[in-house]
Amino acid sequence: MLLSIDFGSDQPIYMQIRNGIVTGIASGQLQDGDALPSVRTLGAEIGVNLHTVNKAYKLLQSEGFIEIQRSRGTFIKAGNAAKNAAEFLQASGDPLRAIVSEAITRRVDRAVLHQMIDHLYDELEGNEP
Amino acid sequence: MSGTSLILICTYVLVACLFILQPWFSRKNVLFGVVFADGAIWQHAQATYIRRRYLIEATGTALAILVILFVLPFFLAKGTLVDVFNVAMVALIFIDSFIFVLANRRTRILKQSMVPNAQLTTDKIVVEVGKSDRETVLSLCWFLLLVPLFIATVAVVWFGYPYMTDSILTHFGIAGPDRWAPKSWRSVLSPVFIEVLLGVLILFIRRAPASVKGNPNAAPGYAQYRKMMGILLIVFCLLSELLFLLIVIGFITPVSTLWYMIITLVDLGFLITMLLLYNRFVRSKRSSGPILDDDAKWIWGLFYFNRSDPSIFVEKRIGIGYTVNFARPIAWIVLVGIIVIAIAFSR
Repeated sequence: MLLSIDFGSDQPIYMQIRNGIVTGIASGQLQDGDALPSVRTLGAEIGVNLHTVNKAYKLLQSEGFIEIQRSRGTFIKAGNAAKNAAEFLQASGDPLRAIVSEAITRRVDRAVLHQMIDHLYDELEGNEP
Repeated sequence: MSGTSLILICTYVLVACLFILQPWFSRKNVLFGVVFADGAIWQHAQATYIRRRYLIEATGTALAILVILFVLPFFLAKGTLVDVFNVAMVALIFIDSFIFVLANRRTRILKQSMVPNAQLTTDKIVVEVGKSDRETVLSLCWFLLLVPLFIATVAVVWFGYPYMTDSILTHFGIAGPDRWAPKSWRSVLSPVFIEVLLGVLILFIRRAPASVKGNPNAAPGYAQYRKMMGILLIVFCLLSELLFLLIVIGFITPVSTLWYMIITLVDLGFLITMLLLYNRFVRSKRSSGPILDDDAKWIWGLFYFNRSDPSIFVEKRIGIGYTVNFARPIAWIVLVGIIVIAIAFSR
């Protein structure tokens, strides 16, 4: 799976790494048991501080997307994330509220926003629209 | 012409050729340490002119110094040929490096004058995840191969010390053994220290990233190449261990010079294999996709300085092998350590 990092983006690099891996899991490109590169290797490949990659991995671990095994390495374990769905919905309330508020302000039709979310779901799950 | 003079001149010609051929020891989309979107730069008229000018200047310098190397000994007292050779080598390295820096500057100006290529980016990078270190990094198990000969060398030094001769050979010059030292633990342990140093260096380069980044196809097959280079260096380390074991055995009982010659010949095979690997996995590969324009991180196209890169060692942009990231304090410690150890053991 390819992870794209934009050094010019306002989004911190650790969040870009985190979001890229979550997208990989959602799209099925990364599956349970798949190995991830070590913090040192990924840091060297991207050319960023090891703390940045470590922060992303720790976040993914706390959210239940990956498992870090000290001697064996880092693996995808998205099954844990499914258990935290209620927490995710609660945490997503505010950013979702901000997006919907902006959509209303910009007079974006409710159906268009729904359609956009459905399209993203289909795209990531690999379903034909 | 004496054998020593011939060896000195052959060494000089070899080093001069390596300098002159520097533009060919890089990826196809790199010219004098400046990265381009693709290998098309190789056919660009202005780039050809810069390359030709470098060739003329570098070859002219090497020939001029060679003439001086030939002529000067006639005016100097006998026995100073090695000194003249040393001065000539230092002059060659400095002058040809300066000529390279000028070529790097011309190439940068050429790049600025060209229409910006959308594939060349300064702020985006795509990396592959989903592969463990087992697939991309040389396993530490390979280093276990180095242990038996290392233990054997230490054992020979430890148990054989009382039986060693009072004068210990410490230096092999171009013309054979040329320096001895009184027997001491420092002089007999020096091969062991060098073995440890070699092993540690290979450990460092295990994760060295490619000199051209941007996407996995910027340096296609690099992980495989890095692994093979690691194995090749371990083989070289094994040969060195064998050589050092023979040397410490030689402190106790005479060892036929034939063995040293065999190892030297195998070392030559190692160099040829390295050249073939480089040609197969670096020079003949074509970069594609977005390429990271990080020329600012390569001072004069030769020295890597990147504060945000955690790597201590990186692949050289020009030439075969690896260089240090000068922005990392530990890289300076490693570099100074190597120089200090080299000086300490050459005395």
